[in-house]
Amino acid sequence: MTGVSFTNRVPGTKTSVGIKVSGFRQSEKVVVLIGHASVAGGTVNPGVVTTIENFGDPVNAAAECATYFGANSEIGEMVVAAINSVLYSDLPSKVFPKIKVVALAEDDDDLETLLGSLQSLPMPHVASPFPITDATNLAALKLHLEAISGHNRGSNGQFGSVGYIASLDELATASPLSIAAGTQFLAFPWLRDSSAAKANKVHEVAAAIAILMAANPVPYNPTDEVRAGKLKPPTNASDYHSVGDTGTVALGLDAGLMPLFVDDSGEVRISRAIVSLRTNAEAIDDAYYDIQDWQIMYEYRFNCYIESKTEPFKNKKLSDQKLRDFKSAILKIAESFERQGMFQHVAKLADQFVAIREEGNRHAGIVKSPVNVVPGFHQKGIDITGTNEFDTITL
Amino acid sequence: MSESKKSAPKITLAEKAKYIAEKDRLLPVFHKGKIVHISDKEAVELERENLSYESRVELLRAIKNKHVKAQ
Repeated sequence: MTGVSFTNRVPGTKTSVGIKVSGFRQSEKVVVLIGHASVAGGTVNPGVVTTIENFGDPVNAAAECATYFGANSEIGEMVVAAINSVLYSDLPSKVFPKIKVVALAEDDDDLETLLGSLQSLPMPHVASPFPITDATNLAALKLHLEAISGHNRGSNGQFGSVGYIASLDELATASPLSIAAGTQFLAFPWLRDSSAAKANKVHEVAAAIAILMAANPVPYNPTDEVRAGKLKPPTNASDYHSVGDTGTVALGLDAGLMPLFVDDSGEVRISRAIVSLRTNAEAIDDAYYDIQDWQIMYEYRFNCYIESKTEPFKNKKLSDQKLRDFKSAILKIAESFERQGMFQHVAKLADQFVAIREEGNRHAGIVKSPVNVVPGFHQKGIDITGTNEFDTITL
Repeated sequence: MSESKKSAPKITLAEKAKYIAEKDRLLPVFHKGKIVHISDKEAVELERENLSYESRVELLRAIKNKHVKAQ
């Protein structure tokens, strides 16, 4: 080696680093918006997946959507509501998720058929244009998300998914629907609005909340009291949710709804971002399952999957040694999650991380991870049926 | 004053009454510190004094909307 000397340093030389700021930063996260095109339609046919180029600019995005789906389309309104939601939110860290849109024809309310043609499209967060009262389309989305969140979906899956179906209804109308649906795959943003002239459209509310969840970055901190930018408060103040331990926020959460409350300056905010899954009715108190905790678990599953598809595990026979090595690898992933503030007590619970063969299929490996490593996710572990202590993925 | 500006008839809660929801409705309320569901299956007896302040408002609202009725 030549040319390296400790005597030729030049202490007076200044170094500067220029950082080019080139607009908004787009995150790796994806939100899928499904809505109706206009009667006239545009250049993009219904059912075709399109990515919005102007992901951080509501004005240009509206023009883009008018080209794709016709002027004043429902899907265009969802895109604008979504971008505004992030743009004017007060999330501590603001990133703009990739917005993928799929249009239904203007007179087509058949979500099941559309979703059937999108089985290979990962949709970690997806907003439906239909209200919670549309039982057929609610059931269709629930069924689809359960299916595509399966562990055997490979790189076309997303290891977990949340669908957003909004409600502007009365408590007595929305709560039985939410309780009946009760699933980790659906969240029901609830902004009660009894006025004939609604302040927001139901599809706008769904899009605004779906994108906020997708915009919440690692380490997926709680989004309690985060503002949904540009959502309007309900027309009548009597529709505002009452907060406190015995208000409609508490009652809505207990029913599996995600109440959106109005603060004293008229901003619409998330009370607590939960999925509609509820603990068994036999429990004294219902526990909530926060979306961000599922996001952590889904990201962990994804990392385990990616690890299994890279060297030294890729295309290798499933030997006992491979399983031992893989357990070591997933513990490293878990430790990395702990360093990022997503996991806790990994060293303490290391023995509970397991990589074993699947009983029914000796060629498949199973990874089990204790759910208690996700702070606040212990409710899943203490589900009184006692069957959810581990989060399991088959690789 | 035009007809539409007249105040609506007042609804009040009885000191003690049984409530039942109309079909496919369910109203959760806080009663004696616990959540009680007024469903369409079986009437539940509630005491006004033991309803939380917010739940009294919600119950009146549900009665006004004809989602719940007192028996």
